[in-house]
Amino acid sequence: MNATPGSPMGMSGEVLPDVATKSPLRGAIERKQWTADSGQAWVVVMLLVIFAAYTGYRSQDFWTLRNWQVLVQPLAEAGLVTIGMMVVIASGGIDLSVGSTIGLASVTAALVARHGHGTVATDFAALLTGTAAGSFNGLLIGCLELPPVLVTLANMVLFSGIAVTLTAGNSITGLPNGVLWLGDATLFGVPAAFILFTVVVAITSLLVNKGLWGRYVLAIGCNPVAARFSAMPVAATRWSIYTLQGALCGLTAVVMMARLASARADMGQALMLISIAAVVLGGTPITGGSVSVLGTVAGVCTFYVVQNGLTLLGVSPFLQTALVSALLLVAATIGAMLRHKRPEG
Amino acid sequence: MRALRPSLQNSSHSLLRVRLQNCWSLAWPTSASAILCCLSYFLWGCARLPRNSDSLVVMIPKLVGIPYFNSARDGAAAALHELGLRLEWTGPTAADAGLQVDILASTLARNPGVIAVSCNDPNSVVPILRRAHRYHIPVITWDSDSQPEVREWFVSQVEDETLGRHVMDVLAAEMGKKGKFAIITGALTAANLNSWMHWMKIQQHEHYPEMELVSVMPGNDDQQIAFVEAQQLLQAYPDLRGFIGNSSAAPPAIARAVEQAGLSGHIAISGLSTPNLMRQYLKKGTVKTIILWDPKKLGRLTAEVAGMVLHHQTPYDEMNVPGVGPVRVFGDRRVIVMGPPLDFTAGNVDEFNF
Repeated sequence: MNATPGSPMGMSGEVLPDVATKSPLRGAIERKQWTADSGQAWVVVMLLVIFAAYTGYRSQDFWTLRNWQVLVQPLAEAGLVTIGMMVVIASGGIDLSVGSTIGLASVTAALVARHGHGTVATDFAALLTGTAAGSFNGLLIGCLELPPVLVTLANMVLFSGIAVTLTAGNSITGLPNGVLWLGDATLFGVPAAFILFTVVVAITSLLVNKGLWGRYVLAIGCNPVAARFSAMPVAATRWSIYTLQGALCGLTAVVMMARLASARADMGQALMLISIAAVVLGGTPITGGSVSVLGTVAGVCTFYVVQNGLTLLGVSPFLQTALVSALLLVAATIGAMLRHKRPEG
Repeated sequence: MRALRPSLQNSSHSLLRVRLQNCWSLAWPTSASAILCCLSYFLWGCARLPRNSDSLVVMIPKLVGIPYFNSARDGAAAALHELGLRLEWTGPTAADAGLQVDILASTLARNPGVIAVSCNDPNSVVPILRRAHRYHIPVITWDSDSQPEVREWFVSQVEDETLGRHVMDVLAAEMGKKGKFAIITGALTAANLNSWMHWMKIQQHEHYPEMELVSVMPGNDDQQIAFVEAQQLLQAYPDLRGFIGNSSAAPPAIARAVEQAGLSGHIAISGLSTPNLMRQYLKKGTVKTIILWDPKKLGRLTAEVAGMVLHHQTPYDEMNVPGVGPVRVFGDRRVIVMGPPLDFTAGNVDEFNF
């Protein structure tokens, strides 16, 4: 398979194919670093299963339809952001502005609703605002080549500033019933938000693992300079990555507004750290260049299932935070050990 | 890459790598013992928990781990112990509306007898409390209300009107019912603070015509901001004779500014704050009286109301609650009011810790 489309132009004709076939990024794409990253993903899945079995034994309320119906809704919201964050981190970047983007998108949508527009306009406004915010990030990072940490940190403050100004810090209610429908809708007992999350995971998994775009993302994460010399559209790919993340933030805002029946400027703030931690917990290296969709989903599930389980067991909230952190360390340690046990090649 | 390998292996780099590998071989037993420790922690408490706990009351504060709510928890725990009910005290570790809803969601699965919640945001909790209603779990709110249609009762610490008028009375008494005064509030958007301020102004118009409100400044619940604003007000109005601090961060900041200006004793300070923040100023005499309510009693009253809801009893007006006293009950609004606010002075401040 040829990972580098287009003819290698410029430079000397001998060097470029060499980079394309023997560079570490090519190697990473071909080997997919199976043992290393999938290894940590499976460790997380295993820890999650052990925890669920234990909690299910201790608390008879854990394996109930009622519990899982309320559990998977916030999980789906965090999951949507985390999937976007996974792609961003795989490309060697980071997005600190997700929480503010969610806040801004929900506030804009609520203001649209307040002006008497219907369900479609409201949800569309949230998606559009999220996409626009992400696209702004993408333009600065992709075209001007500013560092992602700098851009998204600045935009985190900017977006939340706009959102707080628009609402004067209050929560806005009075959303149309159609918007709220998503919060209660179920299909065969499965909340609609979770189905949405599953669909997004499937699509992103295809995009990242099968398509050309996914290869560009991983290549940029591995070595952006090599990617550029391989005639990959680095700027356009980066722009699309952050725009996708923005769109997913808009989608999260739609789901969140439905669940909380209101919009606030600070609505997604907690999701920023959770999404980054979940991606790393799942075995995607924070430096980029490799990706694990399974691990990311397992990572975000861990956060919510463990929090839910510990609440059901009556564990103090402070100890809950400590236990989740301990779990993160255990998974990271085992993952690192698996990586280092890999035979030298 | 492969071509590079041999040269790397001969360098000191490979030595480092060997050491690292040794480290990792040591890491296996270390992490295994860490996991064993975790497992033993879990197995230590491996009795199964009871299901469908009708005697379980879940109380959720705005956030856990601050003295105000710890005090409320102590009051509630004592009352529920006397009633023979179990208390589950849980909440978000930050005053975040979204986190609180997540905790509420987990709580629903336990099917408790009653949920009592102090809402970070009156609107965000509405859908999850509706869900609680669908599951036939009664919900009461305390300290901070939700939208009224999704809860059975709201246990309020004090009525806005009573509190606002009382704060004004205290200030007027110290100022001799005349002179200029200023208010430093929290955020200008906080609904409860604005309501209290509204009643302060009405009380001043009705009873103290010789007093004049010169300025209302937003301190944004930040002591440093409130401190700077108090200094500015003292400079802008040399004939200022009184201050009201309308959020708990404001009175200590005002007292500090007045002390630094060497004006303690000349300027009257009234307002709402906690004993722990105001203890030193009350003892030094910079501030004579500071006003709030007792969160311990509030927790106790909430627990008693939860017990009544659990046993399908209806609270009635002027009912005498043990440890709290007679309370006002407004059946039409489904609000229970604990009673008049509490004055903290140099004499009684050491009896409280929040």
